[in-house]
Amino acid sequence: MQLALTAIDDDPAVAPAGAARAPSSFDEVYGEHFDFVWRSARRLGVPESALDDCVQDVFIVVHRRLGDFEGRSSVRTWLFGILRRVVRDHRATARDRATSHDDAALSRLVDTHTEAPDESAARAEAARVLNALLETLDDDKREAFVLSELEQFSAPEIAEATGVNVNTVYARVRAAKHELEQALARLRHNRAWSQRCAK
Amino acid sequence: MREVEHPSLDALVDAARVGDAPSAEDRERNKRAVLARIAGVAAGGSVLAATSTTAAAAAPALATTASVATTGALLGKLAGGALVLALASVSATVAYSRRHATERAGATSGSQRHTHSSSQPIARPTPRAPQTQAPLVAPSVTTHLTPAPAATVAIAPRASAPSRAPSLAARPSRSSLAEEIALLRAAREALSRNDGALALGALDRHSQRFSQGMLRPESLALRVDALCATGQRERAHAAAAQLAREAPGSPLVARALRACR
Repeated sequence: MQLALTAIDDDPAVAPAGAARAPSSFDEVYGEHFDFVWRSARRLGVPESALDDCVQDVFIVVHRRLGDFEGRSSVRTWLFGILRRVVRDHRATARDRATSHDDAALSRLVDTHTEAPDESAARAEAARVLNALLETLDDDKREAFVLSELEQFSAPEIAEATGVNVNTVYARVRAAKHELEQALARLRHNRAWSQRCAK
Repeated sequence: MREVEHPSLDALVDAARVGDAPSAEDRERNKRAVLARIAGVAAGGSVLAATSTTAAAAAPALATTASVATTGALLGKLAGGALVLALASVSATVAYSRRHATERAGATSGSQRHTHSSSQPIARPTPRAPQTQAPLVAPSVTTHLTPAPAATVAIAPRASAPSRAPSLAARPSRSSLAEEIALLRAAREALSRNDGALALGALDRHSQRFSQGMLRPESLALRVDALCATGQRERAHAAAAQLAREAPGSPLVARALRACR
C-alpha cells in the first residue's frame, strides 16, 4: 500500500528535532539506523508482510526531510517519531488488525512447540515471545516500553520521540511492565495447562 | 516433559533485545527499494508499487524472504521441542545477552551476527561486507556484515529463483546505479507524457549500458508499458515473457503479462 507520506511529512511532530551531530547523508542514516528502524517496526507490531513497506516508508520520509535536520537531539529520536506515525498509518489501513492488544498472539504462542538449538535461535525465540506479549499492550504503552526497555532510551528521549511529557513516559513504562507481567503469567498458566493435557 | 523454570520478564527482554535484527539481505533489499522509490523508478508509481506492496500477494516467498531467512527457517528448524525449553535456554543466554546488550546500548548499526539457514544453504565466506545491491526482485543473496566465526553467506533459493542472478563480482557500483535510475526515470517521465518512443530510447540505452543491470527487471517492465503505449503488442508480450524468464519470482511479472489489455 502506498501511504500518504506527504501527510506525515507535513506533520510538525515529525519535523526533525535535530541532532547534536547532524547526519551527513542519507546513506549514513540508512547504514547506521536501518537496524533500529527495522527491529522497532517489528516490536511495534508490524507484521512480516508489511515490514518492508513500512521500513521503506520511514526512509522515504527521512530522505525528504533530511535537509531540514537541524541538530537538537538524536537521530534515533527523530527516526522513531517518523516510524510511529508510519506504523500507525499502516495499522489504520490494515483492517484485519482490529484486535489490537488482545491475547490472540499469546494463545497462538502457547501451541507452538519449539526448542532452541543454539543461542541465536534462543534469542530469536525470545524476541518472538516478547513480541507476542507486546501485542497485549496499546500503542502508547508499547512504544514507551520498546524504547525504554529494548532500546534503552532515556525518559526525555522517549518523551521527545512520542510527543508526551516525561511523567507520562514513566507512567506508561510502569503500566506496560505491569501488563506484560500479567500477560507473561497468563502465558505460563496456559503453558502449564497445555502440558497437563498433553500428559 | 519436565517443568522448566520460566524466565522473568527482564530475562525475556534481555534475550529479545538482540533477537530482532534484520539480515544483510533485508538491509540491501530495502535500500534498493527505497532508492528506486526515491528516484520514482515506477511507471506512474505502479511498477514500484507492485514491487513493494503486492509482493505479499503476488509472490509470498518474496515478501517473506526475510522471515524465511531469519525467523521462519530458524523456527521451522526448531519444531519438535517445546516452547518452555526455548524459554529455559533463553534464561541460559541471558548472561551473554546482557553483556551483549550493554555493548550494543550505544551502537546503532547492525553488527549483530546471526545465522541463517535454508533448505539448501550454500556457504560462502565474506571477507568484508561488499556493497551488495540485492536484486529487488527475488532477492536471494544474504551476506553477513561481521566476520563472525560462523559467518556464512546463506543463499536461500526459492523454487523459482532466477537463473540470471547477478554475481557479487558483477554488481555495479553505486554510481552506475544512479545512472540506471536516471535512465529509467527518463523513460518513466516520457511514458507519463505518453511519449512511448522517447521512453523506448531511454530503455534501449539502459539495456545497452546495463545488460546485467540491477534494475533490469524494472527496465523490462517499463519496456512492456512503452511498447504497449506505441501499439507494439507482440513485442510487449515478448518483453513480458523475457521478464518472466529473467526474474520469475518478481512481482512485476504478473502485471507485465497482463499488459496491453
